[in-house]
This record gives sequence, C-alpha cells and structure tokens, in this order.
Amino acid sequence: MPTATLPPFLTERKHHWKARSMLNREFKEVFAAEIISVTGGLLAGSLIAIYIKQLLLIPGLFVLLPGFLEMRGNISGALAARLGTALDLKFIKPRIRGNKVVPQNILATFIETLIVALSLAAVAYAVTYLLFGNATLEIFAVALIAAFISNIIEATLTTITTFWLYRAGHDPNNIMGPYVTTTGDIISVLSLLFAVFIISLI
Amino acid sequence: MKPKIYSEDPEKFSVAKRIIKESVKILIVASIISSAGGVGFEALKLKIAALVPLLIMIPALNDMIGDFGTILSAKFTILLYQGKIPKKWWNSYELGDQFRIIATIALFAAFYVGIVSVLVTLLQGVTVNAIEALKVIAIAFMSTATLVLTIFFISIVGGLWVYKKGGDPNNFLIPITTSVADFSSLVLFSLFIHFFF
Repeated sequence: MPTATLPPFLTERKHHWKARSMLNREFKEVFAAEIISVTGGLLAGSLIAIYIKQLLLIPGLFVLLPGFLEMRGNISGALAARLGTALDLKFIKPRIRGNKVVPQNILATFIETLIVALSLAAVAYAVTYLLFGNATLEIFAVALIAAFISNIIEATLTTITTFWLYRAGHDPNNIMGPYVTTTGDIISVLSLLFAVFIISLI
Repeated sequence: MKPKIYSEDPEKFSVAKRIIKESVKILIVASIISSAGGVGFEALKLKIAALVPLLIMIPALNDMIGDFGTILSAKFTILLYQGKIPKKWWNSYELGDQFRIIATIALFAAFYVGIVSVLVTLLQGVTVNAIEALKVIAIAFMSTATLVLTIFFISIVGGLWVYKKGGDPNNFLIPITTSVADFSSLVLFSLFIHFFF
C-alpha cells in the first residue's frame, strides 16, 4: 500500500520507528568506535605510567606530549581521509605500487611532521624556560627523533590499511578515524620513549 | 572536476607542496593549542606521576573528547545543510537526539575509562584504596560531562557563525573542537587533580 494512503497516525509511527532504528544503528556504530578508541588511549596511558620515570627526565616533555599526540592523529587522519576520498571517487587506482600520488602524500606527512614537531619543541622549550626555569635543548632532539620514527610506522600503517580496507569492500573513511587515533597514540608514546632512551644513551 | 592533488600523474613534488601549503598552518596551531593544556601538567607532573590511574586515563579521555568534537561537528554540519536547524536551535529534535546519543556514550565511556584505569593500576601492583578509586571515577565523569557540554556549545555557536558567513563548518569546527577539547580537558583535569588530591 502506498504510504500516502495511510492515515497520519500510522505514517507518523512508521517514521518514528524508522528514525529510532537509525538512531539505534548510529548509537551502536559510535559506541563501538569509541570503546576501541578509548581502549587504545588506555594502552597509551598504561605505557606512560610504566615508563613515567624516563619521561620525567626530560623537562618540558609533558608540555610536548598532548600536542605530539594531536599532531599524529591530525596528520595521519588527513592522510587517510585524502587517500580514502581519492579511492572512493576513483581518482586513483586501488594499488600502492606504481601509484605516483602515494609517495608524494607520504613525503608531505614527513615534512609536516618535522615542521610541527619542531614548533612543538620550541613551545615546550620556551614554556619550560619561562615558567619553570629548567629547559634543556634535548627536547628538540626528542621531538624530532620521535616524530621521524612515529611517522615511518604510522604513515606506512595508514596507507596500507586504507588501500586494504578499500580493496576489501569497506569505506576507509568510516573506519580509519578511530584506527588512526588508537594506533597513533600508542605509536607516539612508544616513539617518545625510544627517543628518550636514545638521548639518555648519548 | 578532479582536484590537482588527486592527479594520477602529478608533477614532481606538486602534490606534496600543495598538501603542506594547505594544511601546515592549521596543524601547527592545533598542536600548539593542545600543548598549551600540557603546561598545567608540567607544573603538576610530580603529583600526577604518583597518581597512576589518572596518568593512565589522560590519553583515553583526550581521545574521547576529541572524537566527540569531530562527530558533533560533522553531524551538526549535515543538519545545517539539510535545513534541520531552526532559528531557535534548542528546539531541534534532531540536535536533541544527537546530544542524547553522545551524552549517553560519553558517560558510559567515562565510567569504563575510570574503572579500567583503576584495574590496570592494581595489576601493576600499585595500591589504590576505595576513596581514591571513587575520586578517579568522579574526575572522569565530571571532566567528560563538562567537556561534552563545552564541545556541544562550541559546535553549535561556531557552526552557525561559519554557516552564516557562507563557509563549510566542517573545515573550521573539526580542528577547533579537537584542539579546544585537548586543551580544556588537560586544564580541567589539572584543576580537578589540584582540588581532589
């Protein structure tokens, strides 16, 4: 029976049910993505808690840390979104090998990561010097080493996963957001710890 | 028309140059705003280092609030384009539904983050008494509730402002809400730690 012939109370109820089922689906999608994202954050937090003594060695690292995590999510998130959009709109072929757009996108993430890491280190140094009076230049080395290492891992993971998801028939844009924040936090904290370890050896 | 950055056969470094030119400024600004929230942490770092469950929950809470900023911005932008936001936006059913979904998930996730942080701390062999555990969960709840309201308000006010100016609210709201979320969550968190411990 066409919807137009139904009495208003029935169509209203039907629309109400439709809206409710859409809201339920949305609730489940957001809820699942959020629990995964938050669990990744808890893992990163656990790593910070385990290695807190090493992190306390470098003055200004707590100023650097939130911006560093934000940077990782923003740069990798934008990379995933660009590749996802290009694949979705069929602007590029769904293979990495021989694709000229991919290396340039990855190169851009490296340059952006190093520029932002340098800016963050400068802010951390200035704030620590002005407010706490115990700044050291080591914060620049830590930021640059950690940025470089984290970008090698995260850019590779992001690119491979985006192409793989697309080839497997998924929309990368729906999945890559929480994936990038989750992996980004863990990789960033591990890279910072590794950088602190290298600096402490020198 | 196919944008230049998606060209199959781009000129040498042209794509990389364009990406950097378009995004590096907002990346620096967003990261520095987030780092500004870390100043309170640097000041309280010795205190925070001793509060293991709080240390564990910080990145998770930051992620969560940032994610909600992105979701709310994207949803509000869609509602604006669909013409579903009346002049008195507080009368919009759709906006109300979005708020209920986000608020319910946020409070559940805050509880999950608080409980898991305490459990992981106990697994690491650090003692947490009942009062401390309750304080940790209370901080997670209060930070989340305050920040979800803040992000909701920023999304609506900022989104309406950009939309009225003829811009795409997504381009403005997503970096702003995520960095404001990062900054304010750390500031709020530092304040709660200062008062509770």
